[in-house]
Amino acid sequence: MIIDLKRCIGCNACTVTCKQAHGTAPGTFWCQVRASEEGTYPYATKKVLPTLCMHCENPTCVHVCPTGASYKREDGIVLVDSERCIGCRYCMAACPYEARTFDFGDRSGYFPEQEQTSYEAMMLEQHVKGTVSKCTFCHDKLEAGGMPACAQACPTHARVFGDLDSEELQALLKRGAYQARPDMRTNPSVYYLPK
Amino acid sequence: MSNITDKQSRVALVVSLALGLVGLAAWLYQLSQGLQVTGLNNTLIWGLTIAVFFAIIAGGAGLLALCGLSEFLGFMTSEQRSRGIAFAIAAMIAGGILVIWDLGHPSQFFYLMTSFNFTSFSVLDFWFLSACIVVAVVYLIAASSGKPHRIIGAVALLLSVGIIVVEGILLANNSSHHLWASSMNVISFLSGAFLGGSALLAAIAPSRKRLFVVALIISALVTLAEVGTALVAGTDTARHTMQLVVAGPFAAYFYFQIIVGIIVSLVLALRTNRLGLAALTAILGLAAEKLWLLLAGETEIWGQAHHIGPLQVVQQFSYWPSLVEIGLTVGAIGIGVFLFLLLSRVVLRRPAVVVE
Repeated sequence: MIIDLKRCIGCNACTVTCKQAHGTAPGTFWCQVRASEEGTYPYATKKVLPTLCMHCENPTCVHVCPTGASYKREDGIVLVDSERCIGCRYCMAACPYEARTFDFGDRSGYFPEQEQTSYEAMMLEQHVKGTVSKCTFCHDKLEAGGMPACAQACPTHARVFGDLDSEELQALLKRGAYQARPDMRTNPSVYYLPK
Repeated sequence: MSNITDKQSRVALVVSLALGLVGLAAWLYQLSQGLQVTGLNNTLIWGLTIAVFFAIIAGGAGLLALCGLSEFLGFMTSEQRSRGIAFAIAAMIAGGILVIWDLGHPSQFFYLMTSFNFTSFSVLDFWFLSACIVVAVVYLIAASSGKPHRIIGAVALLLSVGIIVVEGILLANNSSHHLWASSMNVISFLSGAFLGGSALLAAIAPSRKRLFVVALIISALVTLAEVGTALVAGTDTARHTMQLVVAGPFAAYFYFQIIVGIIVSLVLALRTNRLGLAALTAILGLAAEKLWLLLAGETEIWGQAHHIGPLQVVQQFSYWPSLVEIGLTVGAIGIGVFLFLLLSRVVLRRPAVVVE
């Protein structure tokens, strides 16, 4: 995936669509936009940074996982097997991108005064309390020929998903694309284009 | 010299068992509700229980290492050594219980035992801890005979040092957290183990309190070197992180370590000779040190996860353990004390008497 920071307007459409697609619990964000300010009034500007799991070639989370619950598929997608995860959170400490979240067991929903909708209840059942979860690159959609929900929903096409070896993505990479925290030697599959 | 009567020992057994049951109840409640009943969140992922785990293991492994060393240097009587080994076993089992109680999904713990993924320092930690406990049990049985056992003492010494090094690296290999990845980390863990071990040694063998005093001074120096280096000579990130420790949301734990863990322990050891209490305050200080180290290191990631210039840190983190976490911690310590008293009665065939 390549994220063009020049195109990102920080609207959080990716954040919301990810939550809709995966029905994650309140407080769990597999995809999010970090926002901050730069400068001082009247010259202050908003700075945004869309983040997700970087699906690293050399994933530290997989190396430190004591049970083998975190694993990398042959196609490079890093996943968590909740049926093996013991919830020790070591992978969360090891991830340099803070891309992982822990399920603390809160099932009250976004509007605790109301009952969960059928969709909320159905989706929450898929998440295992006491385990770690993260972005899956919507691998089920990919297998069906689609693309990750965040890339599909982005109104400015800031998120471009595809084969990094393809001509289209190679052309984008040549525009000065870089990886986050190269000092960590994780070789992420997610690149950023400078603002 | 201080003696605990058989009746007092029985009362202590009942009280420690009751505390253990409190811990068990807290764990069952946490299992039913999830870790939302703790003070943790997606940034502060490890808190009181893991800090106390590190401190208990430091005390237990440190004491076991000193018992092993005494086989060669002869600074413990055979009875003191047996008592020390029993204490080390109890502490390491209590630490193991505590770390299992901290898991989100402990029912799948079997996968850790069978993964043999030795790139994970958690797996190494598990096997080192298990080996330490097994060797310590064998050592206790052998030591109860009163004869020197140099080979098994040496093995216990090596394994004890090994587990402390593994735990230091367990944190240090999270290289995106500069505070943990510091080359001081393993040294800090080793000095903590020396402090914990010598504190318990002083409680068992009061004539060895000088070693305890030296360990307190070394621990203070290592801590001040760690904090001072980050504040004076560190990078912006290191300075910001250490500011959280000395003048930020985690300062309470840092000053608790300095005041209770170091100063009060020194005064108790030097002025009053109340070495049992001094050992307790020293180990509480050690737990406080591990707590600020964990918490400050955990918050560091937020400021680091950027590459478009510094993101303004708008989120303020603070951590106070919940009643459930306190219950878990007290419960595991209760189980440890219960085991020690039981071992004293069954294996050593006498109540837990502090003799000099």
